[in-house]
Amino acid sequence: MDNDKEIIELYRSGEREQAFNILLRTYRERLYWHIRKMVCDHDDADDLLQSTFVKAWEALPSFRGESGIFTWLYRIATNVTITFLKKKSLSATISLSDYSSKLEGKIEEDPYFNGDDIQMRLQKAIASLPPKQRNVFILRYFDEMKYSEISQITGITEGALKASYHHAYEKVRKYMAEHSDWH
Amino acid sequence: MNCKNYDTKNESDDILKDMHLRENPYEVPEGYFDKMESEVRDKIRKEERLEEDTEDMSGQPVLKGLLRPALGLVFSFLIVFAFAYGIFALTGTLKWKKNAASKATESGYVSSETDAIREINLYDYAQYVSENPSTIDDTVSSEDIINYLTESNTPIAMLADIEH
Repeated sequence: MDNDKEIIELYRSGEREQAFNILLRTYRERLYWHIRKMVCDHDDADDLLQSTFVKAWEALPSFRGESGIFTWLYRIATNVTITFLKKKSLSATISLSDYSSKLEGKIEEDPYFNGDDIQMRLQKAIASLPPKQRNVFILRYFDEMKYSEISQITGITEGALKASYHHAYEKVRKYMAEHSDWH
Repeated sequence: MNCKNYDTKNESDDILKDMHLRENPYEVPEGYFDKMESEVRDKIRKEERLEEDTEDMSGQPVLKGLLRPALGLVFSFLIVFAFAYGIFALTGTLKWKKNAASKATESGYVSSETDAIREINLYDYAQYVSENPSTIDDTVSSEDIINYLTESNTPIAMLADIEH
């Protein structure tokens, strides 16, 4: 939060680049890991993270400070990532293939995946979720965000988020149980 | 890749409660975040340069800036053309009217009437004469008639038959 104040003050005093450099340094890793868990692939995550920051730079003049910079950045990253996933799913449907299966393949071949079998199974289970449910699951399960925070990012009511997380959780658990003999 | 043994029965209870699963299994290439930062800055600089290139000093987009003088030129040309056309059209009409008026003054009514008569046939002419006897010039003298007949090589026998 101290960084947020510093970023806003610097930006308002005309030190735009310095403000943005602090913003980049502060949030780059947290945003990257969130996006990476959403899309699994490093190259895709890299592209989406860069788009997120470019969009943030463009939107920074209109940032009113009603929510924290972190929430605001997460919102941009979530929108960018969900749009990307929807496009991928759509193009996969058109070519009569399944994007979730492709993602599972990507996880298996990913040279930057350093988890064990059960972690791989979990990532595959998450990849099988619809994009919005996946987002809620990642924000709650890994980032341990409060529903009120997730609500600020996604614009979904807390009640709907609880239901969505519950469905996602059950799906993941079921997937994990069904694929326990894979490896 | 590390392997961890899980009892399937326990997993089915609630495997997701295992804190190990909340650990991040992904990695990034070495120096990735610093490289990403500089790439983002490059992208932003490029976009800003592009924006600067597409705007002129007054903040107008280049396309608009280029089109504005071109459109001005086209409109100026159209105005000059319309003005010149107006002048030519106006003076041309006046000239025509002037010509027509002067022609009428020079040749007068007769000229117009002669032109009209030229257009009709002999029958019409005879009818016209019978209806407008005043238009026939009856001031021609006998001397003039004789002169005309002489000049037109009319045979003497024919001239002898003419009654005075």
